[in-house]
Formats: sequence, structure tokens, C-alpha cells
Amino acid sequence: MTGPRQSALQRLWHKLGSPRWFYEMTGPWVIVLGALAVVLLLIGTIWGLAYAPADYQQGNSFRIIYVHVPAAILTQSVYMMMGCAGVVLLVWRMKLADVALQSAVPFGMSMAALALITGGVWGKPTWGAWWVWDARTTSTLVMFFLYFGLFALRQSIARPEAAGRACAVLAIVGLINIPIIKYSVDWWLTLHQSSTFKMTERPSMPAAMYLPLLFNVLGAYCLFGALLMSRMRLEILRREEQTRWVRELLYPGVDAGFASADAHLRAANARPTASGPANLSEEGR
Amino acid sequence: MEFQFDSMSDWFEMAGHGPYVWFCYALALFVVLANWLWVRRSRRLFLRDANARLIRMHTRKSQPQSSEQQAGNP
Repeated sequence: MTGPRQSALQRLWHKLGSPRWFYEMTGPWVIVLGALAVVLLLIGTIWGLAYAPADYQQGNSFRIIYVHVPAAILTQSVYMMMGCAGVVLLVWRMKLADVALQSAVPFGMSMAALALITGGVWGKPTWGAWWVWDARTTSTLVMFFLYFGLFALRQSIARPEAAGRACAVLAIVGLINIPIIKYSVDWWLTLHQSSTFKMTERPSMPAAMYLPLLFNVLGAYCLFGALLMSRMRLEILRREEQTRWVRELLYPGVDAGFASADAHLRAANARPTASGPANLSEEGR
Repeated sequence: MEFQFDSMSDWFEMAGHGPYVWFCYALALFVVLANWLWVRRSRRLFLRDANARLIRMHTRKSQPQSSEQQAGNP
């Protein structure tokens, strides 16, 4: 794999594809990102709930923005990440991309649900209806179904490789929905207000209102990072359960223990065994 | 930056919007906790099952041998 003619970049690429390397690297990251998420979300939530000024038109129902917008941003970002993972899986056959794609689905789906439900609850006092078939709401609902489709597709195909490829295709095809959600407020007449944060302009709110939102959005990204990594780590253990490094990680010294137990058995039977712990550990490549 | 409400009950009330707002925050908390606990639980179950599989695999590997030996030594 690592010949002298490979560049440093190629070696990094190979490393990135290695589940073992990922597992060993990300242990501390889960804790750091998780702690960061808790701090950022606590600041953003308390600020938003108690200290941000009420909106002059919507009153206090406006405070739902600090839940609704981070959830909506995250569900789109997670989907975009899954689309990229799908491309990496199909083009470079990187196993880790499949693990990432699979592990991102639950969080993305729960964020889509949260955005839809909080949107409905916000809509009732503001628009006068729990549900409106407006362009952005509808396209977000479509995204929720796409997440559900990814979840169901994975369960319904028995061969893991085929399931991975099918999910990658669905994730890539579903990317078409992202610009529809993003620009729906500009293309069609909808009830949704336009974005608070834009790349090239100042936020469309006073700082006392948008800063808590910023905290919550960043906190939600950290939360996603922590949850994604811990899910990926578990999925790696699942997929690599029979490899030597996972066995050594979960049960240090177990192969040596089995070897000595079998040697004991062999000595007792005074007969060499064809299949023993040596084969057992060989299975793990 | 100051507290926007006159009293705690005023804060819970939020001029009639309280139930909507607090429901959203409670739901968000539930979703976050559920995600976190779900991963923890899956991990615990996996470790338990992996342990059982390992023991089963080893006993299965050693048992047929002994029955084979018995068959080989009439």
C-alpha cells in the first residue's frame, strides 16, 4: 500500500480510509466536541430563552428560532455530508465513507423531524396554522422522507456492500433537494422569512438576537461531530469485529489466552489440532 | 443584556406564547438526549453480544474436534 513513490497526500488518503486509524484518532475528539457542544448550546439556549429581546411583531414565539433554525441548518448540512460521503464511496470505494453515511442518518433524520415539528409549533401563533404547504416546509418534509428512505434501504438489503452502494446513490440523488430548500424562499412566494445569516451580507437581525442563534448553530455542529464520531466508532467495531486489532482492543491478550488454552487441550489429547487459535487470529487479515 | 421578564411566572407565561416556546425547547432536549443515550445503549449491547459471540465461537471451535476425536478412536 505505502510504496516509496506515493506522495504524502496519497498516504494521508490511505490513512483516512483506514477504520483502525480513524478509531484510534477520534477517541479524544468525541469528548472535546461533546463538551464544546454542551457549553455552546447552554449559552445559546439560556441567552435565547431569557435575555434576547422579544420580536416586535412575533413577541416571544420568536424564541423558537433558536431551536428551529439550528435544526434546519443541521439537517441540510448532514445531508450534504452524506452526499459527499456517497461520492467518495462510489468513486474511491472508501469503506469509511460508507460508515460515515450510515452513522449520519439517525441524527440527520431527528434534526429534520425537530425542524418540522418546531416549525409547526411556531407557525400556529405566527401564521395561524400548524401546517402550511409552503415550498420550504414541503421540501424539508421531502428531505425527512429521504432520510427515512436511507434508513429503510440499509435495513432491506442483506449484502452490506450492495446496501452501501444503494444508499450512496440515494444520498447523491437526494442532493438535488438541497438547493430547492435553500432558494425556495427566493424563488417562490412563501411564508418563510429569508435567511438570517448570509455569506456576503450582515445578519438581518440585531446582535442581541443573532448571537444566541450563532452559539446554538455552532453548538449543534459540535454535537453532530461528537455523535457522528461515536456512532462511526461503534459501527467500525461492528464491521471489524473479527479482525485482530478489534479483538485485541476489546479483549487484550485474548488470542494469546486461547492459544495457551488450546495448547493445554492439545497436550491433554496428545494430538495436534488442525484448527486452533492460530487460524482464529489469521481470519483478521 | 438583561433578563427580559418581570418575574419567573412571567417567563414561563411568555405573554401567552409560553406553551409553544417551552414545548420546542423540551422537544429539542429530548431529541439530543435520545440521540446520545441511543449510541451509548447500542455500544453497551454490542460489547455484551460481542463477548458472548467470542466465547461461543471458541467453544464451537473446540467441541467438534473432541467429537471428531471420539469418532476417530473407536
